[in-house]
Amino acid sequence: MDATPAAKLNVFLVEDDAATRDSLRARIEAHPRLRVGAAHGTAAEGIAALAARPDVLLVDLGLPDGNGIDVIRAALRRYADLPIMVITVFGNEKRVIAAIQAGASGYLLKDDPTHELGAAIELLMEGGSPISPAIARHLIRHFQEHGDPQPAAPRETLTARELEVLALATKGFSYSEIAQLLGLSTNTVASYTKHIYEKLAVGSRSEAIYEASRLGLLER
Amino acid sequence: MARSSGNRILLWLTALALPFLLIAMLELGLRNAPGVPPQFQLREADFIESHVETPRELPATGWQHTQLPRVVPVAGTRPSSAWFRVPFTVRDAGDEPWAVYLQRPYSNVVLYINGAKIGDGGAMTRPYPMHRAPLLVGFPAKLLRPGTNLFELRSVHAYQSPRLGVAAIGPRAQLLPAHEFTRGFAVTTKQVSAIVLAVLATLFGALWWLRRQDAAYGWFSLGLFSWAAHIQIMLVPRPPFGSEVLWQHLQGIAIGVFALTSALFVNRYTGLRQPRIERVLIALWAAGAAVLLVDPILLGYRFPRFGYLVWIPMLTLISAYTVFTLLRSLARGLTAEVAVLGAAGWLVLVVSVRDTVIELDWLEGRLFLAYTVGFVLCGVAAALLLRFARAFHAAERARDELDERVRQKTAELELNLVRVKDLERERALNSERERILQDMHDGLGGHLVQALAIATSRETLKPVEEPLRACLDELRLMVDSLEPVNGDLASVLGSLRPRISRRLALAGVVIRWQIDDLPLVPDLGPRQVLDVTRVVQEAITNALKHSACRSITVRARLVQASDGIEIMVEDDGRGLDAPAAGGHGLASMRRRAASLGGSLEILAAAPGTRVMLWLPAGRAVNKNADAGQAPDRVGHTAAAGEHG
Repeated sequence: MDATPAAKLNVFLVEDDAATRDSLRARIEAHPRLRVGAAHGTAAEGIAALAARPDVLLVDLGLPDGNGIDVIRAALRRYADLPIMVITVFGNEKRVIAAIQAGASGYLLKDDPTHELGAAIELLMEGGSPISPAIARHLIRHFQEHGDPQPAAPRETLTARELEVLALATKGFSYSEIAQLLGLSTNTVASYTKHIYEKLAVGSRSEAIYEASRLGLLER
Repeated sequence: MARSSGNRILLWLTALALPFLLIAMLELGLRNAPGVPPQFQLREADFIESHVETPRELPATGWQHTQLPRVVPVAGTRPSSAWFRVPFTVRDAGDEPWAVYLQRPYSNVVLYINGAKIGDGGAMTRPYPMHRAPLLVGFPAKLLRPGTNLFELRSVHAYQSPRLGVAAIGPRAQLLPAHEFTRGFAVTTKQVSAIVLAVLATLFGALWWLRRQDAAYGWFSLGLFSWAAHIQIMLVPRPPFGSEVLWQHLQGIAIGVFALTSALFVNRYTGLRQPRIERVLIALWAAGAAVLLVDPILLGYRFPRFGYLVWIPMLTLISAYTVFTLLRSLARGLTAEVAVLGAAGWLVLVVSVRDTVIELDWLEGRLFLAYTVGFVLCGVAAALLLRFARAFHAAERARDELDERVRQKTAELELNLVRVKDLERERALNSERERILQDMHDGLGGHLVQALAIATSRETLKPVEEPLRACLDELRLMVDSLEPVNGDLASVLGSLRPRISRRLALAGVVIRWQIDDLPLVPDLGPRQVLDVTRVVQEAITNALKHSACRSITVRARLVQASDGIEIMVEDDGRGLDAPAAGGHGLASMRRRAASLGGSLEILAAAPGTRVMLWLPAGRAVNKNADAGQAPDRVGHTAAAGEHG
């Protein structure tokens, strides 16, 4: 334990496999600025644990008693601005994109070494979102083609710059490389990606806020 | 434009002039026809209105002198009767037979030479004959005496005035040519016309019988029959039944039928039917015909006859309506058929008017209406031929269009079928891919992560960690290759980067990533994706394992000169002399490059090694590398994955 626990970010972990959960917990705790406030193996437990606000929520999608997306929705109903990451094996499957659409801001690979895992969480906290080439490719398709899964939701369009960032991301360029190629700062690129994620999830976020207001959670 | 309107005016003028040209032609022809020798023609006569039966009963006074031909205006009773008396001089009668020639007696006649009856146009009993054909009444020369002789003639008409038209007395042989010509002109031609009309009427009637929907032909047939009947009625001098007036009215009714059927025919032929007006016309015709039939019974021989006062305006009305329909049709655009029909109708109209004038004795001349039959038939035949030709053309065109449409539809259907099959295949492929991904994520992937978690947590299991990680990387490679990339080769390379970056970072090797914009490669399937990825990954792995390099450059760019995409992996390590460089891995890389339709080159760089993979841009990748069916690709991929 560190001498300044208050400065550490409180991470909530929902992962059904015990060995993986423990491994993730160990790696998160190994990072100097992170601590695991709660770690649960089911959706019900995870949602219950959300009574206390975490700094970051990490959710596996395949849970024994339900879908990780339910946990994401529940979390967003309570804390509309909570940074949420999806834990995944591959990082590019359909469920990850569905989770991002539901409001997750990024994803972590289950076997990421400590420093990558920590870097991803830090990036998220700083307002950026990690963006893999596969997800960037999917996002471009999503914004350019039809097939909006929520036709009733307001449809955002990407700016030319945001599209440029995504196009470079699909080619495998890192944040700093993209920043360099476009003549921007890394932070600016990070904020672009965050906006892109927000635009993708705009339906779910506004829905979450509407639902929250309906439940009277915002009035309190 | 100007020329075409000029042509049109010329055409109109020709059509309008046609009847007059025909009349002029016939008149010219008649001028040279054998006529009555002038020395035998009778120029003047005395006449008296009298109903006596023989010349002996004629009164001595009351005679009037007149030029011939002469119609005696009779105000009195009907039948009318008048006597003509013509003295003529004969020097030498000779022995050959003589004759009296009457070109067109019209009424019935009895002829006397020097008081002796030489012949008549039929018994002077009702119904009285009416002669439209010439009469040649022969008598022996011995009836004549040198010097002045007397020719006496009684003319009787049932309901009109008695008359003496063109007449001649002379040797029979010298009058015969004129008689025969006129007879041929007035009788034979009309008989032939009537027969032709009747035959054609039968043919068109048959046509209508076979095609009831074309009522136009039925009406046309009836029209031809009525015209034939009209001619036939005129050719019979003595009515076989009823009164002379009724007989005359039957002829009028026949003309009425022709006028009516012409109107109905034109209406149907031009497609401008007006059923209500047609019903009114038929009703008018029926009423007029009824009047014509009843009139002789009610009014007897009185003249002028009431029936005709109704009938002539009615015929005029029907004909005017026919002309009106033709004009309406013209207003919609002049078709050749309507033009021909219109010209024929105009011809009949003009010649009819002229004949009527002659029939009414307002002019002396011969009747031409029968001669228009040939022209009218030619016109109608031409119109029908045009219509048949057009119908054939239309049928052919319709058939061709139908064929073409069937062809198009078939092609569309085939295309749609192919599209549907493609979509189904695509969907099957996608759902299969989803299933495999799901299985790998929940099953193999999850277990590998779990195993890795356990391995990292226990020091004793540390040696398993790296192979497990390699397994996971391998799995990711396969999963990535299953992702649809829509021909975006740059993003295939992009997906490769996160997988290699960890190993490079661990080895402390810097990567220089230079991916240009690349053209889309159509049909970049999972197999091709896997091949490209493996070649690049293998090149990087080789560099990491053997070259002891500090940096690796990955570059992809379009090479315009060779119309291909060049992917280069270059390290700054030891170079080609490394013993493992030519091993199994390299052969596999070459094989994959070949299967992509590209080529692989391994060059010495300064320092290090450069691996160049060249791929054809465009369709060549698909053609050379993936001829199999799409569902097989999953199998190919799996197999390739196992081998690799």
